Amino acid sequence: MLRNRARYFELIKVLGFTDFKLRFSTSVLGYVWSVLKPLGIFFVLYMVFGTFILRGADPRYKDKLLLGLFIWSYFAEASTAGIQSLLGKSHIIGKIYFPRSIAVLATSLNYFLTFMINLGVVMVFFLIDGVGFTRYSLLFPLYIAEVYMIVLGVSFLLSVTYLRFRDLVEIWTIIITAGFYATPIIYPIEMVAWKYQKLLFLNPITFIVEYSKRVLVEGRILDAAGSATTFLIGNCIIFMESVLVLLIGFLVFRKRAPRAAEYL
Amino acid sequence: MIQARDISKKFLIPHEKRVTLREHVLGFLLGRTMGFEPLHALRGISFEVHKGEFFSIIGKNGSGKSTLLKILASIYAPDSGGVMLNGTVSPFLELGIGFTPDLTARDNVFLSATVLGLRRREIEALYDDIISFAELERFQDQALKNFSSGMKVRLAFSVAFMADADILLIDEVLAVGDASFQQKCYDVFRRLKREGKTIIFVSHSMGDVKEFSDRVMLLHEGRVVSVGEPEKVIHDYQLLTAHEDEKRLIPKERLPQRAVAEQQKGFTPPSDEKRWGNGWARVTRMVLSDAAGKEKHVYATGEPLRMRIYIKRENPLLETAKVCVAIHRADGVNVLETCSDPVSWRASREQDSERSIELEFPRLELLGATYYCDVALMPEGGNEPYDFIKGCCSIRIYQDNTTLYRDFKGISYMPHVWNVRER
Repeated sequence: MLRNRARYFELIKVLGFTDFKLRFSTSVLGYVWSVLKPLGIFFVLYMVFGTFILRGADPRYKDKLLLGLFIWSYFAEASTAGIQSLLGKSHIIGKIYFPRSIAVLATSLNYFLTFMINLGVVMVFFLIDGVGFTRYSLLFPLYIAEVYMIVLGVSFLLSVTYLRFRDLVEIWTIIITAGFYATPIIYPIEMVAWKYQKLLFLNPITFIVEYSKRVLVEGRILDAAGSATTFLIGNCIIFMESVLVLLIGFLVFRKRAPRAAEYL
Repeated sequence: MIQARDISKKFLIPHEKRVTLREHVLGFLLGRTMGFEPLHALRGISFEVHKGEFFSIIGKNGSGKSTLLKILASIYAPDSGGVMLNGTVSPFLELGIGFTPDLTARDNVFLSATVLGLRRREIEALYDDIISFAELERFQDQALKNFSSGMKVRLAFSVAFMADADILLIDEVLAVGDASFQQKCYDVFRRLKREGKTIIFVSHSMGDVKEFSDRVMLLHEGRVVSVGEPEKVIHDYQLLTAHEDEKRLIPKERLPQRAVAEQQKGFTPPSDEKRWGNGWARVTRMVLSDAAGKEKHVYATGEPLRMRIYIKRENPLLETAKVCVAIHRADGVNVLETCSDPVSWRASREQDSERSIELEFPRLELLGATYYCDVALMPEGGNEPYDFIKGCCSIRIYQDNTTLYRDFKGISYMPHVWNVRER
């Protein structure tokens, strides 16, 4: 058992490293792209929304935009890659047995690692822009963990489903595009009327982006009405949602994975 | 070491392949139900393999060999039954162990060996041996997509075998690769046997199976037909394929119908024509049978064969004709041509116009291959046929491995003795 655990750890490492290599070895700039891409999008969006449309409404707009964008692009890229994590390794899965969850874990960890590095870039940006560190910032790692749980849950659920429904990636791309606008990234959530806000909060990423902006950029946990209760309830909801997504994903995966090789 | 109990595996083959959500939704909206056809790949297979045994699995294509191996390798989950394996497994299935085309040979070796359960240190220690066994020293840093299929197989086999697992599952490695690599594989098999590794080997080459196996299992349509001594099981396999060939050959045995009757002048048959002649007399039927009179087309070398040829006179003025038979091997080598004495019809009696003649081989000592017969009706003198049928029937010959003919090679057996004189 112990030997197995060490073996699987090794396997995650090697598979993750391989993924990393395959992801970046084909371009000259390699890994740098995973920072440049959201940065590029950031500049475009900042030009359009920050300087023309929402001109000067919020002095911290660019920090919030940057943070939201990096969280979102991590979620979008990692979940899309996660869906393909089984089929993408079909040549190995069809020939040798190893626990199928390792393929999904390796991909998700690979993207999580680049996300961590990208967050470093965001922190540098914040430092330069004078965004201070507060005790509320300590909540941020919790949100990161929750995004990771959601990504992993979605990857588990959809990677086995993708084997049977090969247009899932296209559908997911559309969902991701819709999700981008249904998450308060380019606009502040206060711009949305309250009855629609409730709808937005059905999306767990909305909570995570919104609360990350609050604890990191604004350094507060109270909402505009000054109540801490909603914040507390909100946190409970995200946490339960994240756990639920992961749990459902894992259970479906565990049921379906033994037959994965038959659908390759 | 390996215990398989009552393994069954069924695949559902959809009548209509739907792989996208769009197709599923459309199919549902249009009210089409999704029909499935069950394919029973394995039906209750049980067997045991002991430690250190070289165990071969033989059977025709589609008999379930590869599915069974995939279940042993835990790639497929059986529908019912179970497998107990004691020890580490190194699979080599469908000529590969799962390589990534975009990675270099080196990266692939590390990846595959890790999947097989080796640690980094162990792989580093083995790496040079793996590459040199595969003879790929010059290519180790090239992407695998640029490799020839032989190179990939060599590398895959090299990793699978260097992984030093207790149990090796090997599916048809010898089918590809050049002669020198095959020789290497043979050496590896011998060495693994000496080292007491358990090997499960799937092959269509009975020679290889016979040479290495301790025991053999024959699968047919997902069931175990026989298990045991290689000699006996291979014999069962030969009988089985003979029986199957028989079924396959019969529909071909109808005589070609398009007779070219009006070719009176100048005997130059077009090469693609299967039947020609002036039509004064015709071959109506040809029946191959064994000594007991049972009609069949697959014979073991040395079996008796009778060819009965039915002929019919079409021109009432014709009095005699010779029947000629030519046997040639599928690749065109002419084996035998023989003609009968003239067969005669008593003048102008309509009811006597049809008769038959038999050609008997007491011992048909052709060696294993497929043979074709041409049949002709010829005039007594002269070579312009009344009827000529090319490839009138086919005979499949196999060399039964329980008879004296089993090891001979060539076209035909000739009685012979080896004399050793003491000095």
